[in-house]
Amino acid sequence: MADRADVAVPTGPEVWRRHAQDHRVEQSLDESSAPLSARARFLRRFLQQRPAIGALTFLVLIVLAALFAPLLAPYDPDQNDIRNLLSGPSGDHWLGTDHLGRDTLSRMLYGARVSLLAAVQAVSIALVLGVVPGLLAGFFGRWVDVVIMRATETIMTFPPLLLAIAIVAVRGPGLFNAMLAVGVVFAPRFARLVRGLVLGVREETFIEASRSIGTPAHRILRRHVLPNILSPLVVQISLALGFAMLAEAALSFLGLGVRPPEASWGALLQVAYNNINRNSFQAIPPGVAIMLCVLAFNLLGDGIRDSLGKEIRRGT
Amino acid sequence: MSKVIGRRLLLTIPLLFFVSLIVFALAQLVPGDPAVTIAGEQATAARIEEIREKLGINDSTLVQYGRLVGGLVQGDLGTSLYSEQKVTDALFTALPITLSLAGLALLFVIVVGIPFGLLAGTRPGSLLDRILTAVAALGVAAPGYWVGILLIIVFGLGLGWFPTGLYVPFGESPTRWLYHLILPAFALSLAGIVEVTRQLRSSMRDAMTADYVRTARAKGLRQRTVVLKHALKNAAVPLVTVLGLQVNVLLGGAIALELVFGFSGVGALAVRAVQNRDIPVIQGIVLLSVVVVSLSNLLVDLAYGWLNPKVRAQ
Repeated sequence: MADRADVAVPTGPEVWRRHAQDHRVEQSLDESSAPLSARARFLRRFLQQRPAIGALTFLVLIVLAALFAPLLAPYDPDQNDIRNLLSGPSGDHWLGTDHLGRDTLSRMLYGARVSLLAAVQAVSIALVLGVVPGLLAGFFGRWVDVVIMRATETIMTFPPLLLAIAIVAVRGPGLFNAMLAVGVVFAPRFARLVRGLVLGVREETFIEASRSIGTPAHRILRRHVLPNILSPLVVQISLALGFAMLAEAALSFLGLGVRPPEASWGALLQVAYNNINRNSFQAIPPGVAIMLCVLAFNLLGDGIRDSLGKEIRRGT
Repeated sequence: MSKVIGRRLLLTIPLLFFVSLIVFALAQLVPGDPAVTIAGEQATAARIEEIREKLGINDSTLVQYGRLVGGLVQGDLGTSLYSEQKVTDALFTALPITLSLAGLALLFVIVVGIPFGLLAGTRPGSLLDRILTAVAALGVAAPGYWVGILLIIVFGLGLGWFPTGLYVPFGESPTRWLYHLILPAFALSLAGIVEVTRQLRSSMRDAMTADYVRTARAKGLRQRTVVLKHALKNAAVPLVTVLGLQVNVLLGGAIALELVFGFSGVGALAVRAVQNRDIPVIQGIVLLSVVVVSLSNLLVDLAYGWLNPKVRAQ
C-alpha cells in the first residue's frame, strides 16, 4: 500500500529538502533581492514552456469570457425560442439551440462561470481539509501520523466518483454539496503530498533552531514549513482544478450537481445527451470545452513543475 | 506466497473497521431528521415511521453500529427503502453488468496500452512517440462518458455499426454480449490506455538505457528478446501499480457510462439510489466497491512478488 502511494506522489522529500536548502542559501546571501531573483528565474523558465503558456492564455480567455458573459452572450441563457428548437449552428445561433430553443453559445458562456467557480470551490475545500492534517501528520509524526495516514488511505480506497456520489446521496443533490463531496474526495491526496513535503523540511536546521528558541508549533508550521512547501503544492492545485472540473461535469451530467435552469458544462452535456437522436451536434461544444479546460490545467501544472528549478526537476 | 496473502488479509482488518465507520457515518450525516429528509416533505407520518423503523434510528448510536457490523458479518446489508428488495439481491443482479463492462475495459487497457507504451518507450522522440504523447494528453482530459456519447453518434447513430445500448448477458449469447459491450468498454478504457502508455513509456525509457540491457545487447540478443524479456519485466512493476489503480478508476467511470448506454449495472443503481436517497443501497454499493478494490490491491501485491524476487524474499 505504502509503495504504491509513493509512486503516486511525484516528488520525493529528499528533492524538496535540497530545494529548501538552496532557497535558504539565497536568502542568507541577500535578504531583499533573493525572492525576486528566484521568481525571475522561475518566470524565465516558465516563459520557455510553450504548451504551458498556451494553456495559461487559454484559461485567462475562458475566465474573461465567464466574467463578461452578460456582455458577450448574444441571448439571455434562459430565453426560450420555440420556433428554433434543437437547431444546428447558424448565423443567428452560432452553436445552435437546445430542446427549449435556448441559445447554446450563451448557455456555454454562463456555464463557464458555474464550471470554473465549482472547480475553485472544490479545490479550496480540498485544501482546507487536506493541508492541515498533512502538516500535522508530517510535523508531529508518531500516532498523529499513523491515524491521519490510515484515514487518508481508507478514503482513497473508495472509487473517487462513487464516494462523491455517496456524499451527495446523504447531503442531497445540488452544486455546493457536489463540490463539497469532490473536495472531501480530493483532500487525502493533498494531505499525503503535504505530509511527504513536510517530512523533507522537518529535520532542517532552521526548523530545529526555531524549535530550540521555543517558537510554538503552529507558528513554525505557518512561518517556516508552509512557505517551503508551497511551490510543489501549486503544481498539485493546478492538476486538482482539472480533476475537479471533470468531477463537477460528471456529477452534473448524472443530475446530481447543478440544478436547472442554471447550467454548467456537464449539465449542458446531459441535456444534449437526452436529445441525441434529434440533434447530436449539441453534445460537441460542452464536451470540447471541458476537455480543453482540463487539458489546460494539466499542461499548466506540468509547466509550473518543470519551471521550478533544476534541482527539483532532477528528482521528479 | 501464503505469507503475503495472510499478512495482507490481516492488514485489511483495520481498513474494514474504518470503512464500516464511514459507511455507518453516511446514514448519520443525513441533515435534520433522516427519516423526514428521506421521506420528503409530503410524506405521511406512517411512512416516516416506516423509514425510521427500516433505518433503525430509534435505537442508540452504539446499538445501530453494532447492528450494522452484525449484519455485515452475516452478509446482510438490509433492504431498500423504496422496494422490498434486499440490498444484496439488488447488488448481485447489477454486479455482472458492471464487472463485464469494467473487465472488458481493463482488457482493452492491457491489450492496447502495453504495445503503445512499448512502441513509444523504445523509440523516445520519434514521430510515433510524439503523436502518442499528444493523443495521451487529450485522452486524459476527455470525460469517458462524453467519448461514449461521441462513439454513439458516430458508430451507432451515424454508421449504424454498433448498438447504442442494451446489455445482453454473457450466458444468453457471448457474441452479442461482446458486440453490445465494445463501444462502452472502449470509451471506459481510454483514460486507462493513456495512463498505461505514459507509465510504460517512461519506465521503458529508463530500462532501455540500463546496464543489463546493454549487456543483453552485447551478448547479441535480438531486439525483441531484449525488449520483452529484459526491459519489460523490469518496467512492469510500476505498470502493475498503474493497472491496480485502474480498477478504482474503471469502477468510477462505469457509473456515467452505464447511464449513457442504458445498462442497469451498479452505477445506474447508485444514481437511482441517490435520487431516491435510498441510504441502505448506497451503503451496500460503497461496501461492495471497497471489497472489489481491496481484492484488486491483493492481486497487485501478489503480482509484485511474482515480478520481483526481492519482494518475495521479504
